[in-house]
Amino acid sequence: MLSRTADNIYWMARMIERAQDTARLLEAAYRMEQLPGGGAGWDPILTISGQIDGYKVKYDDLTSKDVLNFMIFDLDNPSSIFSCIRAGRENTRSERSILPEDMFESINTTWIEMQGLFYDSLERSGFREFFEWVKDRTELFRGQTVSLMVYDDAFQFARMGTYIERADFTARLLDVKYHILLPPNAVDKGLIDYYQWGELLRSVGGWQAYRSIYKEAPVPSKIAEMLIFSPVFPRAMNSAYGEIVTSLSALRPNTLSLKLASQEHAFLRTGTLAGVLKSRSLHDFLTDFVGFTANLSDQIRSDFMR
Amino acid sequence: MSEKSGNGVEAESFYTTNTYDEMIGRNGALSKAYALYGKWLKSRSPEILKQRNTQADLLFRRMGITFAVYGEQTGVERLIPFDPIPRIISSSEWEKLNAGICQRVKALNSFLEDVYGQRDILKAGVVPQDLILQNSEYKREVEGFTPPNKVHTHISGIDIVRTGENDFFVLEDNMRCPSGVSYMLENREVMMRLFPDLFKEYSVRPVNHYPQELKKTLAASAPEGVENPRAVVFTPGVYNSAYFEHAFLASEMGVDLVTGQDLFVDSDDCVYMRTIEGPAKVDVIYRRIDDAFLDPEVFRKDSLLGCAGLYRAAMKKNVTLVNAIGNGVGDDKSVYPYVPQMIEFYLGEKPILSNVPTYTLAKSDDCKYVLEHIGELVIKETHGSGGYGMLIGPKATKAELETFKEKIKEHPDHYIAQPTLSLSSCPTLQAEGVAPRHVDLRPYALMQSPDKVVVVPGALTRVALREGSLVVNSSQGGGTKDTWVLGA
Repeated sequence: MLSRTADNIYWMARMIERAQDTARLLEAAYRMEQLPGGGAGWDPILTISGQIDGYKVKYDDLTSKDVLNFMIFDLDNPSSIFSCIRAGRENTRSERSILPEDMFESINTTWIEMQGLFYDSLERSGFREFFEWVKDRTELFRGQTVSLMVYDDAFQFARMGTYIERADFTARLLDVKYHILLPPNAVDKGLIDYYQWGELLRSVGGWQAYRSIYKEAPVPSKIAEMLIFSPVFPRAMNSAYGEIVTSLSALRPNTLSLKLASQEHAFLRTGTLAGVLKSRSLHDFLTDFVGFTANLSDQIRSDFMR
Repeated sequence: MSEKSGNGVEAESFYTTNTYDEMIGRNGALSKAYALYGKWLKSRSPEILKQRNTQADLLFRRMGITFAVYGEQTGVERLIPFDPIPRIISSSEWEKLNAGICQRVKALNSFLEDVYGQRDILKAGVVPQDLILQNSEYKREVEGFTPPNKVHTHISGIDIVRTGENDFFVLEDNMRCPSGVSYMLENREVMMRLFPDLFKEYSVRPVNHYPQELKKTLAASAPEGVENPRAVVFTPGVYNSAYFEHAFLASEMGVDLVTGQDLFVDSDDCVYMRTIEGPAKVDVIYRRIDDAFLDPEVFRKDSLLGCAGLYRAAMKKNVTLVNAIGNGVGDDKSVYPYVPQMIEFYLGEKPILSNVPTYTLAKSDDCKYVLEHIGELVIKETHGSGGYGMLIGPKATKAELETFKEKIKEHPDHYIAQPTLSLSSCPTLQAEGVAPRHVDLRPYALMQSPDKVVVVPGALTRVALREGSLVVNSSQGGGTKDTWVLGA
């Protein structure tokens, strides 16, 4: 398999996952804004996506309209949903000769439909409906990778792309709580907290998962534990690393990237939140994790794509 | 008042036309090939066709069967308009076309082998020596080089026009990187989806084995002694106007689609592609990239699309380039008038398909005649393609004619002229209903050895969608049709 093909397929999966993650993040923020006094503000959204600087170049104020426009439609923002779908579609188009026909056709349809959407049209038809549409279309595409692709090397790169992006996103999302500074005169801090954590859980589709695992009302420490360490919740950092290790082992034994990923996976498999917090803050841990995952992505590149 | 044709269908009620129409001829009677289709068309309302046409557009868009128009914003992809009425060719018409194309391609291949080798045809004075050796398409870099299996013209697209029931002419030969074959295949795919009932009634010869024949052609061209050759399709990249076709053919053949950055030539002068398991040797390159951009070591130094060392590897026969380097001198418009002589010279046969009578403006008699009759003629640049740099006398303004005359006087050898042919028309769906529009035909010939040419029974039919227009190029408002070759 061509190295460039591996690279394209990897980024195809990453960008589609990122489109979905961005939609999930915006949906959570959008819902939080509707809570009385519970709005998280829009800067955490930009911080999580790493796009706060890009935003400030274009806009002076943080308004929901500007942030939504920037995060949904702006092609100058590489993490906007539009940018992600476009990049995912370009990568798929580049490799359409080796991918199942349905995959290019479905992402191409998404791209065509997305070109017909604008802020005003979403205001009329509903932002929630739009976020759901993005989730549907990207899940359809991911479903096609799993149910149509031959389990060959290309499949492994697609899976790695999905899970590297997802591990990165879950860590960034969890870190959002660190960035949310409640206004000092908040009426009921506890209640707002409860709802905010609830939204965070919902944004990763983890509400039901939490209840089935913990069988009790959401508690921040347990939510964090689930998102980091759960071996059974598919959007947990631990699960994501499990998939990454599986794919790396299937590709070639003894690569440096496999070694790195296995180490991290071993830590996530055996670690606990209490253990982590003994030596550092949650924020520091998550920041390190995001950095580590970026390094792993570079290592995969130098192991396979040069 | 209505004149009934032999098939009991009132042909007159389709439309009238002054030129030869492939459905109703000149006298209004349905031709044999269209007999069934005419009846079918009569029994359906144009609304159904329009609705199917919309469906086809959506299908093409969803499948991303698009092309990029140069000069427009990068990354803008457009659909080639598709016409849902097929162009139908009878089996006897096809037999003649097929024989004529094979003959022509064999002669052209012999010509290329000859002019880069012994130059017999130049020595015999059949083709003027200067015309070839001074031609900018003649590549000194491949003098004395014979490609593996002695094939230069692996893939040719021969453009054919028709002016009457039995009058077919070759308009030009394309032996560099002819494109459009994916439309031949996808148009059929879409037609079968839109009109399954028609395919039950008609016996239409299938075309979808083209990629398999192409793969055989590539395998047959491999360097000697290579078992299980690895072939690849070499594309300039995702922004090339024909990228869809490159990806499509690679996918259908099950070979890798590579760009310049995927290839390198090692110190052993062999070509390798970069894979996740390390370098993998490449034996045959179906390149969809012009000679000029192929190898910056030898041709254009500023080419970012090519691969350095490719020429070297090809000359040592470590890799086969498909088509061979230097074919441009065979399909150059200034060489075209000599193809009938080539057929007689190399094959000792009479040409089955005629050329369009052509004036070579480098000849002073021809030039004089053309300048006097410019208003009746079509003038083409010898190196032009895609319908650019062309003058259609009868459609040009006085000022345009005068400007062109000046250009001709300055460089007569840059031009040829031909009579304005009244191209045949085919029924085509228009906003107002079914109307005649002019068409041409590009069948694809695959040369698997110097004496074996395969032409899949089908072609790309291009149609000039504007009323009265003779320009069928997709870059200039042309569309495509599915082309049906009927079984015997």
